[in-house]
Amino acid sequence: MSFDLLLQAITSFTAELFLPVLISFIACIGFGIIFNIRGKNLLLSALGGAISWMVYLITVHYSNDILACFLSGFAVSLYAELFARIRRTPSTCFLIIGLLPLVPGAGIYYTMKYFVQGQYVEFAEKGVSVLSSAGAIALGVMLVISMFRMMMHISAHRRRKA
Amino acid sequence: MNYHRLLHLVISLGATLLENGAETYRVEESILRIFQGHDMAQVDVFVIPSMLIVTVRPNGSEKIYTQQKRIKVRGTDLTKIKEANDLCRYYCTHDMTLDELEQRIETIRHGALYSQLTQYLGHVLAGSGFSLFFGGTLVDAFCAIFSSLMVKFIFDQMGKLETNTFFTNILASATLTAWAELMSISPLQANMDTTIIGPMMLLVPGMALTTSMRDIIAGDYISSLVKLVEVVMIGLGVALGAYISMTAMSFIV
Repeated sequence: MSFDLLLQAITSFTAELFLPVLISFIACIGFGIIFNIRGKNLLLSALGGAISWMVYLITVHYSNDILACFLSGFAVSLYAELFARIRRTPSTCFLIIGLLPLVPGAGIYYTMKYFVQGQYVEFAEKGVSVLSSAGAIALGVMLVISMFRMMMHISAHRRRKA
Repeated sequence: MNYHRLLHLVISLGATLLENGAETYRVEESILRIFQGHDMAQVDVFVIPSMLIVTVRPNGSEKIYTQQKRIKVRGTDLTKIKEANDLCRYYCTHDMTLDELEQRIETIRHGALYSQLTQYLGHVLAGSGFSLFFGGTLVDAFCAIFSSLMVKFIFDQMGKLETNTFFTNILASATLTAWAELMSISPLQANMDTTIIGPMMLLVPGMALTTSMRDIIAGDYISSLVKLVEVVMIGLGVALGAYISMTAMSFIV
């Protein structure tokens, strides 16, 4: 009985979390190659994509789409800023790849498709949801970047005083 | 000190950053940082995505040196941004002659790209990966392989012909939509939507969107507006291409 439960848990974990995250990792490696990222940074930036999607999947399970977008945008830009300092690489390198799984590509496509097919109610519904999740991601990213800029100014100020 | 030459090198370093998609504040800060090591009374840098102007006046001199550079072609190469950024920091902390600086800049500008085969592989990974990611089946991902290759091929060929991005995106988007429609009525019976979305992610201007966002945060509104217009134009092109293809196919099918 408990073995069945365990098996079920493993299956649902694989199908709902592990596989999507793995796929987003692979797709992000593809984009890393397109943007000519090399060496360790390629894997690290793709890892950012995997992390952002993992955070999204976990948070969307407990809350709604918009909050999940905000939190995963927040998480991935934190990741990008930290690794930018560790790897001495511009943080854009990690941020661009990490944000890719969050880009509401499917939403934009369906919005356009509904418009083409003349289903204006669905078009408006999808359009609003795309815009709000894009706004939520941008808000999460902006918050982290502004925080880091502020911290950098403070530490530079201290260094000048010392 | 040969200020004409220094300015020329600094401009070409800044242009390397800008041409490969760096944010405005990064270019401006890099240039300012290089001149910090020199005794300057005045340093002014003006950067927008298509233009770079630097004016300096050395301390105790009446002479003003100014140069500008027009940026025509912009791409995305994150390795070159990293290397140019590294070089700038290195120059500030080490003693470097102008010859050395010039040599290092040339090395960065002619830096290696991935081989053509690897680039095609990258497009396939990204294109069919995202079609799986958005809920496609393995059949859809398989069909997306071909359209991802087509997207890369179209971008290469159109780049050679120096066609504008708007038209290139219409063409790429129309091609991949037509291919997905064909696959959906073929015996493979692919899902049209997921077969389209994956390769369409290749057309999403992620770089322009992210830099535009970062430019807003840094307060560079002109640059962010230019990038935003770029994003909107690409988005319109992609939508228009898909629309043309869908309408045309609805007559045929």
